[in-house]
Amino acid sequence: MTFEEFAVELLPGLLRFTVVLTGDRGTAEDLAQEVLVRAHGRWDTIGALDRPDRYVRKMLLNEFVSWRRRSWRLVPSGLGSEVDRRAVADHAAGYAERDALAGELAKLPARQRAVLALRYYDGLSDAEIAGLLGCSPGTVRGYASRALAALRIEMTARPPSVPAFSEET
Amino acid sequence: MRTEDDLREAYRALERRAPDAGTVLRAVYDGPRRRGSLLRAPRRRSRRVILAVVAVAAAVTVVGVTLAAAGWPVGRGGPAPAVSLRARLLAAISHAGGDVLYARQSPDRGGMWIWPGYPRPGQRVRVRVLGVGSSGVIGKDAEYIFTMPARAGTSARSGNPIDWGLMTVTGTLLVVDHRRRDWGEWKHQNITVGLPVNAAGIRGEIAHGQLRVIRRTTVRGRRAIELAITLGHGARANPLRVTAAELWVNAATYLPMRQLLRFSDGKQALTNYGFLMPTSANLAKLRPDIPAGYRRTTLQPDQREKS
Repeated sequence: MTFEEFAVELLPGLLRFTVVLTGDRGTAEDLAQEVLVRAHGRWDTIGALDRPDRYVRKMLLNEFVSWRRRSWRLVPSGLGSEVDRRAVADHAAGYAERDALAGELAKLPARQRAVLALRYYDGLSDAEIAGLLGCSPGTVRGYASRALAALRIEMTARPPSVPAFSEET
Repeated sequence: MRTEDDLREAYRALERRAPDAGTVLRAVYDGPRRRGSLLRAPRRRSRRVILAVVAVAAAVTVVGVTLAAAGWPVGRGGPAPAVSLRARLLAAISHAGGDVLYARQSPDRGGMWIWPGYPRPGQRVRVRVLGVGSSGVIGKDAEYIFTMPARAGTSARSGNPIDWGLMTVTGTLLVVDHRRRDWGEWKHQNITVGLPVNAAGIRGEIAHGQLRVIRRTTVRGRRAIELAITLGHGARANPLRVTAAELWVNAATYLPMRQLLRFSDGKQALTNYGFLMPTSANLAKLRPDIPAGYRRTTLQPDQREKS
């Protein structure tokens, strides 16, 4: 696959994944640019893989985790958990709740965010996530459990095994 | 209690904020300094050179500013950099002018965005300064908007022509105070700011030789080039002076990775920086976020400081 084919066919899906991972467009743009510049420089190798998008996705994940590890936390007090969450039965309440949840996601450690995005956005199994992040499935479950607890999300008995969203390929 | 479906719904809402593929690809194909067709043959070599020049010049500039801020001049007596490096640095000044200069300190004490990165006299300048406390929580977040004066700076303070020094300008000030949970905007305010942006001064410094290559090394698992900044003797009566200045740039992309200043009191300052394309997303970073629920204050900035 050429880089141009990749850009046309697979990049939009990867960019959606990137913004889900980072939580905001600007950071997603920076992250994607940094990774794609590097991927482009090695495209002779990456393009020859069966699934170059998976490889680039792993690059994005690695970069995101290392970014987050060395970056400062830009979380103004007053955002996220302090958002007024009084129940109002209208659509605005739904938007506010999603925004509040997005704000709280932004406060989670990078690996916990990555695990949640891979599990609930990409629909990957814990074993697949473990392979991507280079840890054990038990560790993945631990990350997910702590993240869900922090977000006050009640976990169903069985983690999803079917992708929540189909990837645009 | 929320459910997992709430989380999926939040992700579904987030994915609609995905960046534009064209904007991302432009950086890959053309680099920040070029514009044009997206899906064309890459120009990696050109891009690399341009980025390298921009990055190193940016780093030199920020170093100059930091030294100046410490009240010590940057010296002129060091060995001159290689001709090719000097050429790249000089070319960078021309290419980097319109980008957003981004500098942040570590440990996490905030950062600064400046646009344009190298403002010329008469240009409108936007500066955002973010103050982060030791707990990692943002204290103050402020934006300054003003017109770059024809003559600015207190070069006598530092004797360093690289930066404008501290300058007092008149402009608009927007401050979000997260401790007070309020914000305010004031026009026609006298503002004192320090900017790392005197292109003519940078050219002079490069011409006199300020950088020298120390070694090739590895930083955070990546190949890097370590550079030393040649320092002047400075005013030895000053109790706080810079004793060493180092800079690391990525050996592949030439993007700056790290800058370290060591001071005579044993402390050191670590700064990370880069240039960002002036995309709408990056320009939005110049504007402080005003969280919902914050009240707008009517007190003047100086009154707020006292209250």
